[in-house]
Amino acid sequence: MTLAVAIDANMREITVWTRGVTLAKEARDVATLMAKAGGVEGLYVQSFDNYVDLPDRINVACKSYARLSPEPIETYYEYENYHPDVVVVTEETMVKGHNILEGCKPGTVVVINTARDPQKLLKYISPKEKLANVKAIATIDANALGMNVMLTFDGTEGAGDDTTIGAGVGAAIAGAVAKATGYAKLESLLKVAENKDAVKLGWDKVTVLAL
Amino acid sequence: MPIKKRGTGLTAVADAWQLADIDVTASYPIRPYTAVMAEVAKRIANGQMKCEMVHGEGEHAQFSIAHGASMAGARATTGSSGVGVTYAFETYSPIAGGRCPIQALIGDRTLDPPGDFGSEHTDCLTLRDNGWIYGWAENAQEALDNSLLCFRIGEDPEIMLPQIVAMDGYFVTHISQDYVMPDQAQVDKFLPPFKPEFRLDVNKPVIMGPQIEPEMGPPLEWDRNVVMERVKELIPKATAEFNKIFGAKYAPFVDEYMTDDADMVFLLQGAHAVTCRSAIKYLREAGYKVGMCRLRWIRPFPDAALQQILPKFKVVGVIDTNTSYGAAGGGGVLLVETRASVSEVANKPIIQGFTSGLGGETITHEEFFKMADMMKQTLDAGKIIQSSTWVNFNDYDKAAIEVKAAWEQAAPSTK
Repeated sequence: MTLAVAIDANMREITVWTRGVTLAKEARDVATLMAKAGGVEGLYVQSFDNYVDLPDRINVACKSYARLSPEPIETYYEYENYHPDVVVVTEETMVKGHNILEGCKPGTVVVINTARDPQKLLKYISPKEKLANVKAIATIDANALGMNVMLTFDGTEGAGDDTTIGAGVGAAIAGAVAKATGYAKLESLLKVAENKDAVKLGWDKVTVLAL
Repeated sequence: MPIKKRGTGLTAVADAWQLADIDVTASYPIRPYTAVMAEVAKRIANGQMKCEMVHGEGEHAQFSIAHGASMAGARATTGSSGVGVTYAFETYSPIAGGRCPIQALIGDRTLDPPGDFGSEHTDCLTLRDNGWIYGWAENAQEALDNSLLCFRIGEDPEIMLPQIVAMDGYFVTHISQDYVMPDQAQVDKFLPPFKPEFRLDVNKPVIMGPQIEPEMGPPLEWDRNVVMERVKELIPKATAEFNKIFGAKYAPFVDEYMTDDADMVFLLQGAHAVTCRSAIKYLREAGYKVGMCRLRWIRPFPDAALQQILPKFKVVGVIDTNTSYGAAGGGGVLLVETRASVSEVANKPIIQGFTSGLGGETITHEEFFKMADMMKQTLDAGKIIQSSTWVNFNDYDKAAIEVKAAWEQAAPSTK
């Protein structure tokens, strides 16, 4: 039987693609910061790492997720964001060889950490048939934001983060995501991130290409 | 003051172990158990916990270390997951038979093959005949609470049995959620210090775990049987006491949801109860008189409670997130035990089995809807249609029947 019900119909899903160990903590920070900022704004939120990926293997592809909903989240125990509204790529080469748009909803925003022209990256993004669902591609060169925006390393495996949240590149990317999507106010992000300069830089320097 | 926290089932159990002031913990990493040992190690390093942490060279060593520590009078903990649980298998009966009330945290993981991190209850259920007290937590709060409750029950001088705080890997161990860490004073009121009557002490020598003559065996086994019956009596008392001190509302054995007017119920344990409740809400709107019974304990099995509760319903759908290949009825462990519990009850309901959530898959709303549809067909037929159904494999709900009919039409059987 299929009941015609829309479960978590108003929930927005943010999927952050990253590489194991080298950028796993930063990607988790992007998801955690977006969820926490949503929490500040009174939304029901959840953020988690993909359990099936192997984030303790250096450079393997892995994902972190955030969810924001005006109603209590009913699909709380899920492995993945099956229908992302936002796809974040924290390392530019990941646009190749990974179906980052899998399941994405109409109106999806893609945010890539890169110095490259988004038009040039566009041709690599797959699956191709999902490109029609993409509303905009935003780029932020978070790695070039200066000495105070560093990479942080930490594994959690179900426990809490030891280090502060949003101390590095992830904070800048979160700033870019918030501005490109409108999912969080700058003030909310500043409240929850450790490195407030990085958030501001990300917010200011993001460029958005509407498709 | 109780503290509101956001964490996982693993950090919640670390909180419980901190509050219980454990003396020894034995560790060996395996996903998803790993974080609790990382969390405890961190707390010891920070000076938050005073506890001896011993890292074993494998799970067998890990459980043996906890066993030895308990014999010496320590409140000892350990834990594991999946094949780690089964690697330590030899140790479970000696620990329970030696009446060493250690506590293990088991975050379920599918047994190999193939390697899969997902939660399946089979790993922990293989221990069910070894005399440990255990049940599944559905969320982080219950994991913490069950840990305290288990210490209280297992360390009772009349009981002295080891316990497992079982929880679904990933869902409960890794998804962060809100919970409350109780106050130390509340815990001290509920859980007395561990003071076993007999312990390994050079000044008062005793023998533990000796080799015995065959005729000395049966009385020891009888004793283990009797004590498990005693656990059944203690659980309601300890739960009531827990509820009073911590302001909780746990049912002693079976957590019922929307069962007052239900003619059919899902019967399950663990994390999937969370999605089940949400699915029931939609099913109720669609006119299904359905509810849920969630088992809080698997050992001892709540047979007396089920004999009271289940005759209220017409159809019971037992959801097994485990495998017991070749078991009576073709389902899993819960189906066998549930049917056996009410087999001699006059007005027992029709009990059918579902195997779902294997490999750690989420049991989705749609799958609960399908199961409800199949239970409704059983209800209308007034008899069992299929003893046990592996959801998504041999379903007989309306959609599945239509798909099968379409296949048959497209490619008629040549047999």
